[in-house]
Amino acid sequence: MSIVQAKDLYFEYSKGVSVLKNVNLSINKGEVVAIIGQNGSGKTTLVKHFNGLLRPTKGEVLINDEPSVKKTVAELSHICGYVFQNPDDQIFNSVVEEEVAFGPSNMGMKGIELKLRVDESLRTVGLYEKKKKHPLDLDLNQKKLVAIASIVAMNPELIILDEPTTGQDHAGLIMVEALINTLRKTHTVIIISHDMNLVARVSDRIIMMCSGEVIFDGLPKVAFTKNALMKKTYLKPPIITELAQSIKGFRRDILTVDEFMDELMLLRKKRK
Amino acid sequence: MASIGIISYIERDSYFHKVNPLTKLLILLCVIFMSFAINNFIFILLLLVLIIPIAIKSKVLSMTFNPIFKLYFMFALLFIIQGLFHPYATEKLIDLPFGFILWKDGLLYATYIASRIFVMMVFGYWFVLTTHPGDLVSSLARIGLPHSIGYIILTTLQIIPRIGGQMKTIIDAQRSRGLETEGSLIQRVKSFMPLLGPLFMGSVQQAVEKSMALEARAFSAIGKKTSYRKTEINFADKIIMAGAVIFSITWWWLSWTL
Amino acid sequence: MDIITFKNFSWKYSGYRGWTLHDINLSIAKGEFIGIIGKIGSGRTTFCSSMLGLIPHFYPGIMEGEIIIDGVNVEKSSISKLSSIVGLAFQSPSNQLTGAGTTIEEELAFGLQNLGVPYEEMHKRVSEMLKIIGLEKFRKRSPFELSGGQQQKVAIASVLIMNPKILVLDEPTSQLDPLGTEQVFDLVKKLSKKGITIIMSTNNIDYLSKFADRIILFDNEVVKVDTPKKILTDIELLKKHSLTHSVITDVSMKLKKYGLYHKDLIIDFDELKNVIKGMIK
Repeated sequence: MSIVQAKDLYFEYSKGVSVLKNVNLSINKGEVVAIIGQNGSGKTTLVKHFNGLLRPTKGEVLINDEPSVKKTVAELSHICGYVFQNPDDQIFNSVVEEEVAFGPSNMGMKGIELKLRVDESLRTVGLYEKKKKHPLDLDLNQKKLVAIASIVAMNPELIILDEPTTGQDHAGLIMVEALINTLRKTHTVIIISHDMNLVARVSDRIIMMCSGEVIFDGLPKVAFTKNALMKKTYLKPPIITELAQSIKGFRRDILTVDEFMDELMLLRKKRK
Repeated sequence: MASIGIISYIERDSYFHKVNPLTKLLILLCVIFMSFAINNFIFILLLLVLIIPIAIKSKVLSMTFNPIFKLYFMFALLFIIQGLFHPYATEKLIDLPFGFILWKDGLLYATYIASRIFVMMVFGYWFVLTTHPGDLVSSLARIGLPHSIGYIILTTLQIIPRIGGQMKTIIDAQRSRGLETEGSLIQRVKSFMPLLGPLFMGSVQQAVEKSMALEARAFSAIGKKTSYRKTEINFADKIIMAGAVIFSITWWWLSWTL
Repeated sequence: MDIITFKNFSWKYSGYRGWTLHDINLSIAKGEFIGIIGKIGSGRTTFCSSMLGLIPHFYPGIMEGEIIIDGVNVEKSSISKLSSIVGLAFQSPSNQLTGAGTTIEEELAFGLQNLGVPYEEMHKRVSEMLKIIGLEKFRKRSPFELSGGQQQKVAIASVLIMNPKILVLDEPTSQLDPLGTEQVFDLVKKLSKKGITIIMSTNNIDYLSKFADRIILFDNEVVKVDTPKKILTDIELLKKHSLTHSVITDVSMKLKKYGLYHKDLIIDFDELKNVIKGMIK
């Protein structure tokens, strides 16, 4: 069951400057998809089509099998939640729980129902204790979680996280990864990220972009063995994959340390 | 490039591009003086005859006049409003349907205003097109403008185009949370609040970081400053400046006597 | 020869309850490459800012102790004076562009103009710097048209052009993509080879393990100063201060656990690679 579909999608900001070319993809309910590629490859441009911030120049985008152009951004935001990279671009309230309430109240929620929804989202991201705090008192990690909570509170089927770990420290990274693993149980998740280690650990599927085109769409295991493609878009595989690939005899599609150790033990057995 | 709205400096290899910014500024100021001091609109419009060879010698002829034609709507409105509603009008030109009257004094008044604006805008555009902002600031610094003010001018010209982009990101972020930005006037006003906060905070944050960057480049250092671009006032500049002043006074005097 | 000395340095921002940095005692020698690690809020940015004198001259707060940079007492001096000894670059690529110039060459020259450097010298340094950062072809472009990595290189070059002895980089790559990160790290490596003292705060411990001479672990105070190997293999210490060890170290830990390896934990990619190769020969 697809939630987002792009069919022969082209997008130009101004005449002749193609930012997206011939994009064809389909994202299914429940998937965790990572979109990777160099800055300028079209990742953000692509996901902005999913909540209607951008409209196709040619081709079409279907959200839940309906053309995106038939709905406004506000309407699409009920299905596709987009968490912007910089929380400071959206936080404007002086209390965390009011900030999180903004989205659902725009959808018409009020009273007890609204309060319950806000509390639930804050619990999901792990910020319930901070709900009465002023956003300015939070550090970057927590602000990013507030931004995510404010989208989760709208209960969209699809949640798009645009560079959720950029600028974060290790503690922040752990929180975001845990959150993605919580959200995947009930939502479809798209994450745009430069952190290949994170991407390898959480994603079911990888879409690799370069110069506005999709150059790979498939399993993470396979993605990180396509070294020529990765080089084109200036990416390197996760460090454990790189290590495995640099040693003769190792499988090239190792994604985690545990897999690496298993493979090592296997090779030692073979040696005997 | 640094820009003011729809027009910005264009790099050209022309005579007037090489002329000192202060000289060009003086020409502009003389034109502004003449626009206000002269009451005969024909004399004002005749100044346009002057700008044509200047613009040609600056290789920016079409660009100087282009934006003005896009503003024809504003001028048309001016004529309509003054023509129909000019206060204390006495000379009737023609009667119009529905009881409206087209007044001669109104149209005349509009002509004065329009010609003043038109001439100042044309010379103003010429100035912006041919003057590199950095050169302008360093020339002004030479005659005593504090370098902090010079910097403010320069950076504002560069930052303004960027604020638009920032605003768009903030609007998009809030729209993604269900904020309705189109629709009734009340809706549009209501949608303003969620946009101001981030814009304000973002601007403050940027200003702080930029200040630190300036400090890291010895912005507060005391002592003589040098300039990366060379500008000088030579004999030709002095002649042009003198000529501009003499012409302005003569032209003004002529407009009174003829 | 110590070029940077911190003696009992403490700092409290106005309006904040606690001391952001408490009782810092450090000495850094000329030409060293120092890595700074620590969680968000551990005082790394404050530490970096203090070497240029932004602390205490730009931010309001209370300072205790003293900081001596190349013989100059930071508290008694000014940011302008310190800017010719210390070059500071920080996180945001675009916010560091002053906008004082409409082209990259003008942006680079800005600091020199403020210092009153003569015309010929200015032009010479700008050309040299453009070559060092590999952006000669972009000389006349607007800095705002560049990619994040290129902007960051311009920002670094704009302070480097003032010939500082010390270059302080506060998380210079955290907002960049992998290509931008690589470009900046390559530049820093080049500069370190030229003998400039480098202080870099970053989360990229793999880079630090390759190039840093020493690492300082901050958590509102100096927790430890030591070689990359000693700090990045002290698993418990890192964990205690909300940091983590690298994947390379993790693998060497597992090797030890399985009884396959008995030496020190590893932080270097190539070293680990060779150890593993040896195990499957």
